[in-house]
Amino acid sequence: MGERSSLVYTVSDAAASIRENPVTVALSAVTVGFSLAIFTLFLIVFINISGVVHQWGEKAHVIVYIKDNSVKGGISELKANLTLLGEVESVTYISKDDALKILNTGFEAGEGLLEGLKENPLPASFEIKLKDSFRDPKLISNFAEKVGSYRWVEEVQFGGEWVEKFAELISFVKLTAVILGTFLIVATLFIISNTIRLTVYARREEIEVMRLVGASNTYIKAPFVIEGVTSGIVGGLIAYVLIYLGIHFLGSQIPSYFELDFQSTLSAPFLLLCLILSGVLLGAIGALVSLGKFLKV
Amino acid sequence: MIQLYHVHKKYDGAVQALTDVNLKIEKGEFVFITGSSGAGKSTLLKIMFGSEVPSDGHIILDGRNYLKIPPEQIPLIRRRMGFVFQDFKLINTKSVFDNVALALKVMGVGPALIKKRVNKVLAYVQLQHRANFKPLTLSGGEQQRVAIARALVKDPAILLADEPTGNLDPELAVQVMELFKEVSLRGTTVIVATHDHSLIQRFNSRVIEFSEGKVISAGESA
Repeated sequence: MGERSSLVYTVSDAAASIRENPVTVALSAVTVGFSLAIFTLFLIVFINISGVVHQWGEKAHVIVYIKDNSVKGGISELKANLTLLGEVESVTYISKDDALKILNTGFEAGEGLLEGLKENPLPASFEIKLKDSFRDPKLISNFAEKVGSYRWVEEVQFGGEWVEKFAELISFVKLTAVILGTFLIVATLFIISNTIRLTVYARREEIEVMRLVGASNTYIKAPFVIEGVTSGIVGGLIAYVLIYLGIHFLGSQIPSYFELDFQSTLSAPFLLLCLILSGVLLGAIGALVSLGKFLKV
Repeated sequence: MIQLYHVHKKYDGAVQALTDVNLKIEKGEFVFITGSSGAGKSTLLKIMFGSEVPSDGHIILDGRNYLKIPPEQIPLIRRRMGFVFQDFKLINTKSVFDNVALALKVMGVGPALIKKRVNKVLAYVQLQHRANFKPLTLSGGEQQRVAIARALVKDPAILLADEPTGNLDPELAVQVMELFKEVSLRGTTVIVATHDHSLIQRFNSRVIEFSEGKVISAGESA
């Protein structure tokens, strides 16, 4: 007599049950598979888009234009003030002449574009590189606003306010993802627990007999939980295949300027592991939920 | 030993199934519980088996107060009891062997010992040649013997039988009762609920008579 025999019987009972009800297990597995696939694809797209927004934020330099009438001491003072700021990694001074040179190299074909003018109309400026942790659209915007109020500052420009708008959109998408994800998980649990409930119902006489001969609740529940977990594992594998196909399809449809790289978002073994573990969790919880009400002493 | 003190059972819907039942059944005794339908026989057996909880009173089983045993330990008590039902309660998708083996499997008995004990008990109820049959392919008498084999395979301290001969013809009924009598001689307490008076008369044993949920005669040990 012992725990080992009980474990062997539990596993063999579960295996027999799966052999007898392959459709039930398959149905649960497909449900888990699709739910996990939709959820994960959503997550992958989301992680990638967030990443792109972050990259765009990184590229955004902050340029502080200096008032033309600034005195030399004022410029030095401004530079000192800017350098002292916690967000700033480096400050480069671009004089009016430098600005003109840069403009001319930028427009090779239009050399002499500004030749007709009596004086250089371009303002001097500071090009500011921010520290890594501050390269976020929202933080850049705050920084620009702060610096804009400094003395001798004419105007502050940063790489596109639309990045900020896009970031707001991403926040909205994030919220939508959380809500949709919750719905999907609940729906999956509901379907799994009901599929297992059907099996429990079909085997209610057997369960009753088991109780009458002195089977513990654990002994009765375990094969159903194993069945749920098996559905979860198979579901995880199905999800992996679906995600693989989905990424290939999506990958060919992405506009190149998005610079998305779905392949490298999650490593394949890690993704597979996560999917199988999620499937196992869903299967086990689904089984326990459906058994909870069914079993009494 | 089983002792019942002032046991009452009232079902939802105000049906009074048992009223102030006081009983003492010794180890190894063979007892008939009799009475008409609805007299409370089945309720009494269910309470002894732990599948019904009395509304009031105490049940002492081998010195332990049954009602103070935590629910998770009820299966452990059932493993010391065998229960034979009128409707057999066999699993029709499993073979005779597997039905009987189930009682040992839930206890965690190893496969080799299960094989030995199941074959032995099937020989005892003369069903060894039916080991691989499914219950529904057997006659009523054979099915009842499978149920009895399942109850006996774990050498229970107590064997409860609720109308075990209700579905059997008189000749088979006598055979089943003789089997029970033999079991009791080997030290198992046997409690049989039946309203078959011809059987009761044939076997000289203690008879506890119920009427409308009350004990009207507690009988004497044979």
